[in-house]
Amino acid sequence: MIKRAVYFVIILCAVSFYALQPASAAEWNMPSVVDEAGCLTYDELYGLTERLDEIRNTFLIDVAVVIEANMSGTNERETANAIFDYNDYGYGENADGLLLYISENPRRYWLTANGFGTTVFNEKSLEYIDGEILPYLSSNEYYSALDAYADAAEELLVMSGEGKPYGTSGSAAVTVTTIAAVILLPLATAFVMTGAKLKDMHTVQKAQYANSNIKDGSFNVTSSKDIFLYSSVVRTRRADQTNGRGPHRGSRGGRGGGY
Amino acid sequence: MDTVQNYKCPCCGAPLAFDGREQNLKCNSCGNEFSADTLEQVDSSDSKTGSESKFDWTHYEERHFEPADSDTLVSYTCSSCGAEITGDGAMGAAVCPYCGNSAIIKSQFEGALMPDYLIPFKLDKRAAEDAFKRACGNAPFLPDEFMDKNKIDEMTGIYIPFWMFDCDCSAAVSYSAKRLFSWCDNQYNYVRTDHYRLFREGSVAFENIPVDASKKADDTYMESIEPYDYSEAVDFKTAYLSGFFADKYDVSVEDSIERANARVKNSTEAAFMSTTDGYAAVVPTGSSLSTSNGKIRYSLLPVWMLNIKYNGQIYKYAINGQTGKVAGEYPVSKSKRNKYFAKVFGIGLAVMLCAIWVYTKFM
Repeated sequence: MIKRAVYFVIILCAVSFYALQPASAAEWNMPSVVDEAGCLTYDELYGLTERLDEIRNTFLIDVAVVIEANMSGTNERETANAIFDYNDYGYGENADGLLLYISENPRRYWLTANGFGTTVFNEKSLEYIDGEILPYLSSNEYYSALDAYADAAEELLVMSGEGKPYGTSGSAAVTVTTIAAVILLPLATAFVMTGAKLKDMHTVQKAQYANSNIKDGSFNVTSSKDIFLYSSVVRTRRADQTNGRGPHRGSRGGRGGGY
Repeated sequence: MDTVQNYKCPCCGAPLAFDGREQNLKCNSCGNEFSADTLEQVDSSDSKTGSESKFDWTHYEERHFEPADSDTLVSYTCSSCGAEITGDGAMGAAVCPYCGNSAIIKSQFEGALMPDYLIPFKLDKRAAEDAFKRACGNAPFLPDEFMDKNKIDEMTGIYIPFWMFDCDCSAAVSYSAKRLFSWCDNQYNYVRTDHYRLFREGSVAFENIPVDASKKADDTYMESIEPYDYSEAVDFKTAYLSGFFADKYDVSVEDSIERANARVKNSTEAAFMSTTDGYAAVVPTGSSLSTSNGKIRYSLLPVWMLNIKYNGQIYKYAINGQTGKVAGEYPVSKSKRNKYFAKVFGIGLAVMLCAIWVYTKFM
């Protein structure tokens, strides 16, 4: 009797535990943290996975980490891109996401952003993340580096959610560009329209043609030949195929190096 | 002496050689291949368009009198008041400055000097002044003080001599043309360019191409007030000249032919170019024109002339005495021009600032 009661309580707790879990906003193809090099302890791995999963489900964008003991590709960029593409990282049609790839041997890392991730994690943002994680990576403090990575990613996603992705609005370059456009466009318009009006001030021009002197109905084409000579085809590689191997969806950005 | 023929690649100009395996002529320089039939057509077209253009104006009644000497002053006596009217050698009709009566020098328009036809003035002086005022109204930066009634009153009606050219023009024109097609797949963007050689042959007839036969009248002004409606042309009678000035020609036909040839050539080429639709790019590669049934006639066309002195500069205007079309250079009021510029800039700036405000507020 007591045994049955204990089993009942255990089952009830288990059901309650899962029932109270927030529903996943999406299903993810890969775990958010893959540590093939054993750089993280079990607790660190679990905590980091929970953290990144929460970010994924909140913002509906993939934020992941892959650590390899030995680099599986020719360089960190191609390896990161290949891992992203062939393991179907990314959320949605454009595979929106950010992947931090770390290789222990050689000591290289790469941040690859894809799809909408290139807007949130633009060049400036990647530079920022770089600055946050590199000091820890250089000191082999992998958990601290990944924690800083998660913090930075969340911070950038919040900023993007507010309509001000890091490195876009408010930057000096954008302000200068905006001011230039505000002044130059009306200036150019004023020049063009004034120039058109000035043409009306000069009505003397040489007659190059005698079209008004052509006899009505006299134009007669007696022979008309369109002779095909040859064809030439030029192909250019599409810009989104120049980084890494394999197919991927959406635009791509990236940054990394040695640590 | 026999003519030697060789076949050159239409793409790069290198020599072509027959490839027995492909049964085509092949260019070893660019790798393109062409059938014999295609090359025959290209060669035949090129031979027609490569010959020199010929403009035949030999069939016209030669005027036996030398062009008037415009540098010599001649005097006539007014038949009304006896006053002396002085003008250059080309003067054919004038208004006596003393009594205001017309003075027509008949000898300037007799025999071989008689114009074949003229177009009478359709606009009287008031109508011409109104046409000029309307044209000034369309000049946006004209200074307000430019329109001085006294100056406009000095407008003068004058019959300008013209040589009128008629001809039939036969032409053969060739073009290089391209069509573009683009597509893409997962990895590449593709652009295919199809190259063509176009050939057009045909004819077009011209009539009444006017070339100014007066040294005093600026050719560009006379061309700017075209066209005239030649259906209103009448046989010449000295009575039409009464009340107006008139000059006889002092520019020979030989000196006018080149101008007529240029306009015939340009119009003919433009007419054939209009038949080459459907291509992304069309570039003429050769043309051969020849004229026939050339006819040159001598006519007088009506023009109102006006000179206005403003700020130390003379501004000339010509007004078509039949249609009222005005040609001339207008002075520009800097203040009006700058005000307009500032207005457009201000409106543009306001629009841009509003757009940015809306974007930052709602996006």
